[in-house]
Amino acid sequence: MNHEKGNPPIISGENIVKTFGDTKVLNEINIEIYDGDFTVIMGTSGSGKSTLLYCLSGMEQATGGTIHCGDQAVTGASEKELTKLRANKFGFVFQKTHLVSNLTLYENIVMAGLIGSGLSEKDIRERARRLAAQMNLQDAVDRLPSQVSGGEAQRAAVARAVMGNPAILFADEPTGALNKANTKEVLNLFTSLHEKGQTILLVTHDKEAALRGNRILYIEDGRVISELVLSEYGKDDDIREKKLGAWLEGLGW
Amino acid sequence: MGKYKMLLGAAWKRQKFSVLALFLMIVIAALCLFSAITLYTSGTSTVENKMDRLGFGNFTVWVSGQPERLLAEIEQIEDVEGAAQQEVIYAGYKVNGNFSDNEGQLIAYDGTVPYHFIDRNGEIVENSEIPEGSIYISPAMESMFDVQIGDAIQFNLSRTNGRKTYTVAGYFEDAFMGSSMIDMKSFLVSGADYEEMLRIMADSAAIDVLGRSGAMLHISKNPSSGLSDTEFYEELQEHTELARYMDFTYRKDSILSYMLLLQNIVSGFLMIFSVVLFVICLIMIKHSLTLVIEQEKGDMAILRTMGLSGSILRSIYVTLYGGSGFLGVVLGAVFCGAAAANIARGMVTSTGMLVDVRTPFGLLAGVFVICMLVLAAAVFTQTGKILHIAPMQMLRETKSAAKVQSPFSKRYLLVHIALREVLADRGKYISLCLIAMILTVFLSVIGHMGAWLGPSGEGLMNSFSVAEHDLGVQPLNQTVPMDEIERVINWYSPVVEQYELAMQSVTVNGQEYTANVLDDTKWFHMLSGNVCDDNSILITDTVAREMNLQIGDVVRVSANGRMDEYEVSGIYQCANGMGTNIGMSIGGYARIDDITGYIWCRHYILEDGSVRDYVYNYLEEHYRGIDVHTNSWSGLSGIVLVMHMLIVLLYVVTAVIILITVALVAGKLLQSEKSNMAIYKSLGLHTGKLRVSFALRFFIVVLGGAILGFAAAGILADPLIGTVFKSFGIGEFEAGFSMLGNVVPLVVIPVLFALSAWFYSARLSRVSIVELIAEDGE
Repeated sequence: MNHEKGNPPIISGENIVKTFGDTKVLNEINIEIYDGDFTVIMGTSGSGKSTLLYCLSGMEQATGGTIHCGDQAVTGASEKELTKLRANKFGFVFQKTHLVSNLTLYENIVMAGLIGSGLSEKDIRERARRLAAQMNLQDAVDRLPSQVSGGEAQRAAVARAVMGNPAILFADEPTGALNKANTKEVLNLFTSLHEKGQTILLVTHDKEAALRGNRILYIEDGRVISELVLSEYGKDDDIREKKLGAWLEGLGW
Repeated sequence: MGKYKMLLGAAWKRQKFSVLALFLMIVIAALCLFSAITLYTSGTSTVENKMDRLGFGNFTVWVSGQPERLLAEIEQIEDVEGAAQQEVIYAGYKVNGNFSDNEGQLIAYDGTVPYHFIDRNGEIVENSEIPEGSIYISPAMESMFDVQIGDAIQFNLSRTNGRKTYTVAGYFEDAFMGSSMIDMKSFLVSGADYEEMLRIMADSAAIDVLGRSGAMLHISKNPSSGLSDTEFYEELQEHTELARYMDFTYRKDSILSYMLLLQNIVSGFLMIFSVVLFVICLIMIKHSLTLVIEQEKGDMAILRTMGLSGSILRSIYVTLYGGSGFLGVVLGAVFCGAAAANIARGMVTSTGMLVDVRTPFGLLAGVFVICMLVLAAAVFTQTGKILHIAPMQMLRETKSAAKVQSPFSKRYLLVHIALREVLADRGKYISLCLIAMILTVFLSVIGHMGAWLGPSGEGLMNSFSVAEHDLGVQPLNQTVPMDEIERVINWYSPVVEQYELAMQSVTVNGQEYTANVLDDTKWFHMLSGNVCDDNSILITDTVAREMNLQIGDVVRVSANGRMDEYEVSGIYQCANGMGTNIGMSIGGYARIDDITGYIWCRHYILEDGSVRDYVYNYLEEHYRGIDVHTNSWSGLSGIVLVMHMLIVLLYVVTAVIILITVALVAGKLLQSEKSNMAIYKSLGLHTGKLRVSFALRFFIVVLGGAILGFAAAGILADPLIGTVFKSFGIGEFEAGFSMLGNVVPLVVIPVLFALSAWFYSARLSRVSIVELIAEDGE
């Protein structure tokens, strides 16, 4: 399940430019994110990797170039069109969990379904329960975000992000604020979702997280300077880790 | 000092909007309060000074003819300091198609009495003489009859070529009867015109004469006299022939009450409104400071770890909020004179004179201190929480929310989101709920007033009338064809009920009152006790208060020298003459006076009351020897207009208060919920829907407050207004259920709050999901 199998791109961007004042953060990037891929964007701090994710997801408007999600233009889209994309096609996971503070974990998950999915309310509630179980949240679902651990809250955030069956899940450093155990739990979730066909675009500077992807892009000074297709090296974690390590070393990581 | 300045500057940057909004609200409250006090005190002193200047004494007696001996008799009494006679001609008049209900009082201007000529705004203008054919009037005639300069006023002096018409050339200041609250009006004419009028009356046959000459006797009590006004008046009647010539008498304080009625109503409502505003300000101070401390306690804890004391932190907020309160009250006090002057100027066409606004510095200083103490206490109490912020405690503390059970479903999702936000953070909405409740009670009170007053002032008129009626006809001689007149009335509209009323001067235990005598006592508006019979009388609340009488007491009532004793059987409602009247049955009155004269006015209640003005005009035009009136008086339109303007003004100010309150509350809420809003956006909730949900929160909370206010107003509104109205002689106030008093505030307040919140939440479109990224970067 990756672009090598001929899946069409979900997101495609041409000559993407993003400037903040005089600083050019993204410098004419061309990129395609394919359906079914677990794409990881890596790069050093300040390289523009997060900015690229925000531009691709429409959170930030690119200064130049074009971005499309299927037939829908992301660049220049109205607030209404972007809202529709977020409700129906995009899911987001952030470094901080960003759950609605006065809703329980279960209600946070359900809310995404109520806003975005075309399912009946009964189906939404059933799916939310299933997702909560899948994320191992059964004991925490009725608690408020302030009453659960960081790992539980982040798993709930992931569940909420995929509640509406998004075409693509954008994740910006989702494990950045977690301890080792919670990081592993969350990454396992991403792997599991990918295995079920979920397209994921993950921004990270964590090698452990990057290993879960099947396609790694390396960005430097606002340009994608290298690409590694990890899926070509099978499923053996050791081999994948060595290949990734060598690739990153070659890039001066 | 440096650190204090730096922290104060930082706090100002974050809190400037709240502080400015609060400041604005306090300015409005202080301005209303100080203006009302200034208007009240200035009004009283202005009318008193102007009355003294024009030589009016403690009593003014209107007499027929010119009894020269009477003045000499009065002046001989030891307790009399002085007495002056001012000659007048009484005559009915017609202006702009309206016939006056009362006779006009024409005075020859010769400069002896130093009247001030004024312009339409009440400002004094130079004028030393009145040209022939010209007439000067009170500006209140504008609100009574829509009279303008250049209009003609026709006086009926005689049936045979006795109509004289004068052109309004300007206005004069009539401190005595200039207000539209007083139906009888004075007019200044030239000496030559006055002489001509006297000649017309003298040349006409007695049967044709309509005007009459008379005088006002201004009697001043000696300051060293130990007599009360009542005793002094009794002495005047006892030792002079006053009763023989007298038409009616007014005490100075009665005239003052009439002249100041409008100013006092306006300043009374402004005072109540300012108190409401101050209460709202106190609630907003509590609300703002609670939220500010909640939001800033992390930073405060950090500052505490750096060695800053709690009292310094507290002083920053005391300076900001206390300072805004202080400046607000100061600004209100500074501009109250100008505001009161503007209100006074706006009322000249109703009050008949410009109140000479003089700021009562001593009184205002006292009120200023009280306001400051209350505001300071509120700020000081609220900021006390800052002292309890421990350096590390707050850093360790995690933000927790109370778990709330409320439904969630796809249908009505926005309502459910709103409801959850309200329930989860209910502490933040209590202030809003309280303010909504107070405003609802206040607008209900205003609405009850408006509903009671009615579009044409029916409520007020019914309170002033002895009994309900549409039309009254009093035959003044035996030639009046009453059967024919009744056929005319019935042609316009069938007469549903009729009864007869006589209004006669009597004394009760020596004090002069008007006796309202009815042939059918069921028409009296009873408040308590029983309807009177031939052995008893009814008294008003005012009379009961003035004479310390109760039901069951026995009083001496006399008229025209005959006296008898009656028991007080009940209290009734009639605000005429500020409530200085009693009710009697025809049989009861017959015991002390002749009832066969032409004293009876027949009152008619019509099936279609709207035709009464047409009937009135027809009868006035076609019949002589009758006195026709409707259940209205020409000053009523003035008071109705002012009251309706006051209601509109208070609604407008309430809307402004709602806008400021919403800005204060919504600003803080949006600030604290930026993250949640961004999350909802990231889930695909459109800004428009978020705004609706935000406005719904206000609607839900305010509706709750408005319902409480609705219930409270149901219990409080009528008694509250009744208490205020008692001072105007209206013993009982009952507006009952009305759209304006009950339904409108209940609907308008939540809708206004929700709309304001919706407009204010436009800033939600500026909340970007990037907020979440920014937080991540922290």
